[in-house]
Amino acid sequence: MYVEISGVGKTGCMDGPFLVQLVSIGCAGALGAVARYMLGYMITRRAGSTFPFGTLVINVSGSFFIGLVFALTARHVVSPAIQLILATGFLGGYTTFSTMSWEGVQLARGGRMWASVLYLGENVVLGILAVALGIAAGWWF
Amino acid sequence: MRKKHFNILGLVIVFCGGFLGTVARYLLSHAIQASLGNNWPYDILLINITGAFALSLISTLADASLYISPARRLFLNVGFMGAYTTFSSLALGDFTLLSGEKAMLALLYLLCSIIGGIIAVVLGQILGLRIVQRHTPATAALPELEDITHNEILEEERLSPPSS
Repeated sequence: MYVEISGVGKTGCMDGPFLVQLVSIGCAGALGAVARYMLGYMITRRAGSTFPFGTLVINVSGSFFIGLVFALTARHVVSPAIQLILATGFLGGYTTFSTMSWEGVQLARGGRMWASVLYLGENVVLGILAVALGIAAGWWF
Repeated sequence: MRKKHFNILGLVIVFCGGFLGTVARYLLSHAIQASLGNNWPYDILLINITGAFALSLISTLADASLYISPARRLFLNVGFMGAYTTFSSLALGDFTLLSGEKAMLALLYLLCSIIGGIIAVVLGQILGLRIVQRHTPATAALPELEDITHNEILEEERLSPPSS
């Protein structure tokens, strides 16, 4: 994703503002990870199914919000620095690719080839649709 | 089914792993864009595939109770790898390519990501199983398994990540 990294190019790599920015992004990502952990657990328990709904819901909702933040930044409602904290930080930590790939392969290894294809396909198709919806929402509201 | 609450220690472990994973992704993405340019999302592709490989290796070792305790798994997998890899940037990057009328590039990016992720997970699992096999006869000699006290085992069970 190509967010603008404000101020970083002009200054040294590890000076004050950059360090503050780095720690803000890290904290936002950490909160995203905690949110993913809790939500994923609750969804998996509620669903009572071996199909990994938790990660699917997390990835699709995160995609919606990254589209929303992207559009709001383009409209100058959100500053590039805040976009970095929300998108690269929080939503980056909240959504996950590694767990999705792992779950997809485990479904296939368990003999549920179609569930695996369906799972990865749903993530991708719904994720991209969610980005489009998020951008539309940020643009019109 | 017993109602299980999140314990604070588990959340702190995920928080710390998530912090480091996010910072690692940001710095690496920054370095890759600086050297390879930002015309094509190499950064997220590389980050996602390396993260999928590492998560797969760690999960395989953790499932065999080799080197990776439940607390370490929570830190490394749920925290670090979960935050290091990202799906939202992949989806946005792909949508950006699509809307820029680069449909072929968008498709290529998606296919590289998904197929690359699958291959990375399979390779990570193969490597993990090899390591497990090599250690299986000598499992009893592993200090980690011998030194764990009963209380530590109970503690780790409380920390164990959600599984069915």
